[in-house]
Amino acid sequence: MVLEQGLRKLHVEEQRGPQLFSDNTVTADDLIDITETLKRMRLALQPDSIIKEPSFDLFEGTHSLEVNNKKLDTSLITLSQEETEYDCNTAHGESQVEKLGFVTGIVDQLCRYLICWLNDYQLLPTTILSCRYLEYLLIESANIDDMVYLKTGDLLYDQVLCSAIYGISYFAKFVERLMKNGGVCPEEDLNFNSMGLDFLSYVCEPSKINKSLKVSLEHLSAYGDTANHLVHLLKLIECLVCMEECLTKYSAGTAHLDKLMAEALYLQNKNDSETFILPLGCFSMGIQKRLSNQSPPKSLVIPSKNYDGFIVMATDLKLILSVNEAKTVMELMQFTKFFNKATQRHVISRAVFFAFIIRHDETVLGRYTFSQFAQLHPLEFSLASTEISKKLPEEAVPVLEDITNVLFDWYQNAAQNTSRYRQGYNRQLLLWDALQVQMENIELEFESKMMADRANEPFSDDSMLPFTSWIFAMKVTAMIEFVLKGFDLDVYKPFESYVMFWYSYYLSYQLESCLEKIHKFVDSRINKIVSLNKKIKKLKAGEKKEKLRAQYRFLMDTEMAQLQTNKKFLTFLLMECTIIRSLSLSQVLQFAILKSFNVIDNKSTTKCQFTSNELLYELRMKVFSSIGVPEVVPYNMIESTLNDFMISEPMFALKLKKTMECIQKETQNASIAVDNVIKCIASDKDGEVLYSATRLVKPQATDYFQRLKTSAKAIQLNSKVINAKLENKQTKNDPKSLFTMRLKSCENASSFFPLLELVDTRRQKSKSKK
Amino acid sequence: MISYRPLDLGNLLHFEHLKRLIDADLSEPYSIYVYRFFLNRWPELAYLAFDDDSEKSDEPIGCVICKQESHRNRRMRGYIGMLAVESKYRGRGIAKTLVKKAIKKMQKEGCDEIMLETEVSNNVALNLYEGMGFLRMKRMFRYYLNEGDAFKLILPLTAKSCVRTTFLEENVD
Amino acid sequence: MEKLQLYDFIGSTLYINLGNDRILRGTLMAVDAQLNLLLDHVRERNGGQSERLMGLVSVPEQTVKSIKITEQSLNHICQLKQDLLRQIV
Repeated sequence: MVLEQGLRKLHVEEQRGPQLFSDNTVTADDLIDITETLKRMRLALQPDSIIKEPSFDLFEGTHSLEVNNKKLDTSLITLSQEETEYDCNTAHGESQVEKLGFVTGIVDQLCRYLICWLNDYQLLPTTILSCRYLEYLLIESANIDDMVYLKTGDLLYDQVLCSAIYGISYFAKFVERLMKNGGVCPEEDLNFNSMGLDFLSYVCEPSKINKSLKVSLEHLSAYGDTANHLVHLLKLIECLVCMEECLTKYSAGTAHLDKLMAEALYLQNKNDSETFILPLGCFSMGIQKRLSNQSPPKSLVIPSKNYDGFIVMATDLKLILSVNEAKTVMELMQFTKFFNKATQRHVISRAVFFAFIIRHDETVLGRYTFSQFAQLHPLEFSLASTEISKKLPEEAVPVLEDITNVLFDWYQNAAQNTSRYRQGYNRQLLLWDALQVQMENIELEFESKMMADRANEPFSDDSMLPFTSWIFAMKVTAMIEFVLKGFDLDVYKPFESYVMFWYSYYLSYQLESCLEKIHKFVDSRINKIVSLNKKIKKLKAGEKKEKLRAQYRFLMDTEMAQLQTNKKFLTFLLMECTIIRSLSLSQVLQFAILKSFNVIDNKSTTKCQFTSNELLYELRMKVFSSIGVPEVVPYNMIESTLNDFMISEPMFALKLKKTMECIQKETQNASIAVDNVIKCIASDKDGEVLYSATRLVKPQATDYFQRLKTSAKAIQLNSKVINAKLENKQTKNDPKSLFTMRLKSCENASSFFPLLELVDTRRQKSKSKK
Repeated sequence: MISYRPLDLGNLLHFEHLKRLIDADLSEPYSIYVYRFFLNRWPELAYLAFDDDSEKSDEPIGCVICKQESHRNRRMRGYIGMLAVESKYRGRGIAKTLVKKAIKKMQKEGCDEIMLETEVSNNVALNLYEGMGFLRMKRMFRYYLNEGDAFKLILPLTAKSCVRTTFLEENVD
Repeated sequence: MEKLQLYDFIGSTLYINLGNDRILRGTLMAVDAQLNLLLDHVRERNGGQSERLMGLVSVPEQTVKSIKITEQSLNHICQLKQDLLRQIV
């Protein structure tokens, strides 16, 4: 108590000084210095102890900032005098020409910063928020909940610059909303560190901003050609302001996007010759120092030199909005499968995608209810003309809801960035697998009570279970995608390529069988209807004939078209499956050759003391470990599959030749299938045999398959090169010491099938010596 | 001669040197409480390397810092948080020895697997860890502040590492 | 007050003077044996400049000029401690 009284005595009662912080009344006089007290107290602590709030997880502390740490303290950012004293309410520039140059330069830089932010994944505070005017106007406006204009006395600043900044901010507000929708990943895909600024929440109508931009354009007309660049920038910003309409009104209109591209192209062509000088201090790191900020300091980005980014954004968004023209769920699915597959689409378009198709009014694209949506997927696949589709059991209704949810997951995942996309399938496998079990029970129960949905003769013992078959196909497709996407992301080491290609070969074989079964079923249904007509023809006129005729007409009207389409679509999917299977098998054979020459093993080369090859295999297969059908192949069996492909004496040369021929045949098969598929995609219509449903993503689908064809050719060529190198007399004796294998992605080829390239280690070594 | 010792948390000098060593080496900014999180809770999982022949033989020239925690209460996961070796001592297998010591310790403590993240472009780290058997389990888009993608690597030590967490029984403490 | 320990200050609001007219106010979440502080909900005042929030902030001991607490808070801590001790005795 003595110490406490002492401390109180130190606290001299004087007039109260100013409050220290604005949110409470504490003044310096209210405070007691406890520095020495705490210092004394800490002596009682063991050097390794740490005292903390019981509920506080020290892990959170790892994300803390740190004062006086240059890498972590934004208060240490040093600003130039110009930056510190920058006055937004002065019309910078000596002459009118210089003022125009300044304003043009500021708007120009802001537009190019938009590209850095969105296309190059940079941070908001190091791009557009670094503009002093943007910060100033947003703060001032938020104070009165209305747009505030500058008061420099010059309309170039007070009107033109302000309207441009509000346009850009309004677009940023749209991006903020997209982020909140959750279509893309915060931080990974897009940064929206708003520094606590309010992005025009009080401006609900974009017309308010566009009106202001119009006023600015009128003002600039007095400047003639000298204001050309600025005029086009403002027009570009007008288009940005309209972009939200795809979600606020679900408008699929693209006029503003076409205009955006035209403006960007104009600026792009003109840009080469012009550079603008900016008023000193106008863009700065200052905002990181001034405003609420929980991030470490980051230098400003050097703005990109071109306007291409806007063209990329508009092109990709146009593609997304074209999904509105999907006439069937089949088309919608194919669109979703291909739009983001070979090239990662612009973040804005990816963020718009899911919100645009799955709408607030609980419809898909404004035309299907969620339950319709769930049923249409199997219907346009395996469910058409089945018994179960006519008498849907009650137990199936809640499962349909689950189907809707898994489908949503599938649709959303298709728009994710390339890394998340693979992880999404990891999650989905479990969902599809659980659905399959649920649905299989219901369908088996249904079969035992009602008529089974089976293809008639000669497969009469083979019931098809339409829902289950569709779910199974979705699941196995997801498994193949997960496996092969790993190659694209460079996740596998060369030694693992055998297992992964063998697995995709195995899975595509499973998928093929499933698709064939459905195909046969659909075929039998078509034949059944056709044969009805033959029957009618044979019958004599009468009641029975009329009855049959009526039934025939009914089936032709309601089921035939869907069955025909489904059959052709299944044929298309079968071809796609063949391509994947053939290419995977070629890679497997290729690996077997390399292994036969002792160049590579399917085991980790490490003499690791901590783990085993079996554990490594099981870890790699962890994702699939719980899947019932198809089951993961046990480790020892994988070994025997490889042994089956290996080449050994006697008659090594002959066996090698056979394997080579097999690779030739498989890659040839794949190429032919690709040609057919591409022809089908190009034809755009329901063909005689094939239907791709890719009308809306023709170039993207074509590109995907074209790449597979390039891969087929490259694999073929690569096998010849490998063969020649290994058969070379000089190297034949000890290829292992001379060569190693690496996975090499090939230009214009599919990233799912990197080449198993033979690398000459001698040459590499001598190179590195130099 | 390089010698290896576990961290002495009571030695404040160690803490300061460690911090300096890592700050110089890694681009990620770390506050004191990053070190406190790792070192105060798992001091036994930090190893230091010293150059006995150097004048400053009591200053660590390399270190590895780890943690081990129950992953969703289903398996024990070791994690290699930081690894740094002073530049002039690189290429002598010091990092490898440090990591091996840490893994051995975590294995002994009952870890089912060891996990870490490293930048896709960091070939030195990838070679080091993959040489010990680590597998790339997934790729993460733009994981680091300096904008690169990263791989998540896992080294399985027990069969538990190879089963999805959902299908593992929960540990009852 | 002599009965107080470092632990008793956890959760209380501290005012840290970093020199150069820079003051932080935040809730003490953790402290180590070197008196490096970890504060949450930190509000910073930097000279005449306006205030701002910085979230969770680590304050190394050597950056600290002084640590202060309101008299009211200190009394509150003392009271709590006294009550606690009385319960035990």
